[in-house]
Amino acid sequence: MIDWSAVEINDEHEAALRAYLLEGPEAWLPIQDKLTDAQSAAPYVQLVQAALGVALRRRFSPTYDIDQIIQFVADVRLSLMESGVTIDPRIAENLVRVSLGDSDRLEVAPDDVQRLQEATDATVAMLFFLVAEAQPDEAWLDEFVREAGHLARRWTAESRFDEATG
Amino acid sequence: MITDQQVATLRAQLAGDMDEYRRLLAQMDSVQETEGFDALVTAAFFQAVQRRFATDEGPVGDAEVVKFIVAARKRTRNAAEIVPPDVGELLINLALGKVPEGAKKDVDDNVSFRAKVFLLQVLVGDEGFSDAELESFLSEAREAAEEAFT
Repeated sequence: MIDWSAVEINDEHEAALRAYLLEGPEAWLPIQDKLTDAQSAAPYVQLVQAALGVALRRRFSPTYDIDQIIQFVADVRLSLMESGVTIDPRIAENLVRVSLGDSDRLEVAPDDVQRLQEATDATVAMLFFLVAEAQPDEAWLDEFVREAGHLARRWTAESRFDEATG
Repeated sequence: MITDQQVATLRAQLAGDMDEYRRLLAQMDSVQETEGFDALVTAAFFQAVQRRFATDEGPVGDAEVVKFIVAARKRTRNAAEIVPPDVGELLINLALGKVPEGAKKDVDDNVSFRAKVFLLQVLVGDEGFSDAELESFLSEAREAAEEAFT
């Protein structure tokens, strides 16, 4: 159980996200110790999820339809197949719909460790696909990370509110 | 034993006569009848998948299966819900012998059946069978189902 009142997303986390997007998962090797329990990992996880949310909202126009989500997830999976990486398409589509506000329910039970890992894999894969697709330069990355940080802080504040009001 | 009524039910469905399909389906009120129909649908599905995806060099690759399921799920308004992508791909890969039967153990039977019926309609629709070809297809499916069901 995460204590959201103790979660803070700051410049350090945003810098970590920026390095992660530029260099890949190995950029987080120095902070591995912080990612071993849910509480200390929460700001990083929240920020990565927010980054996916920002990237998806940029990618899909407000008038998107389900066919576009189906095609997007398939495109991500087809691009990964060359390197032998797979992600679960149902979880990926669900993540996209939740991020775009089309569904308010993540279809992964909080205690289902395997499905949670699959959700993480799908989140990371889609995030990297979207960032690569944007062909980012320094200014793009700075602005993108700032926007993700803003969204992550908003989500954290909402979680604190939910926690406080039961 | 696969009955004439079960074959007629599947024929109505594959010919797009959905009123007749529902009428005949509603008349199946015993477990044996519904299990027989399930066996017939499964046999027809395997046959249709083999026709579409098996080649002299073996079954097609994963990418072809993914693309087919994507296209099938865009066919109608409800298709995306009827065919969850993981279930659709699993059904095709099972029929191609690319994954073991046990891979289906976590899939709900009703979800699997609905997806299978929908994909069968797509596969047969794409074949553009004449009446005689559809009869021949049904006859082969019946024979395969009888072998599997008895």
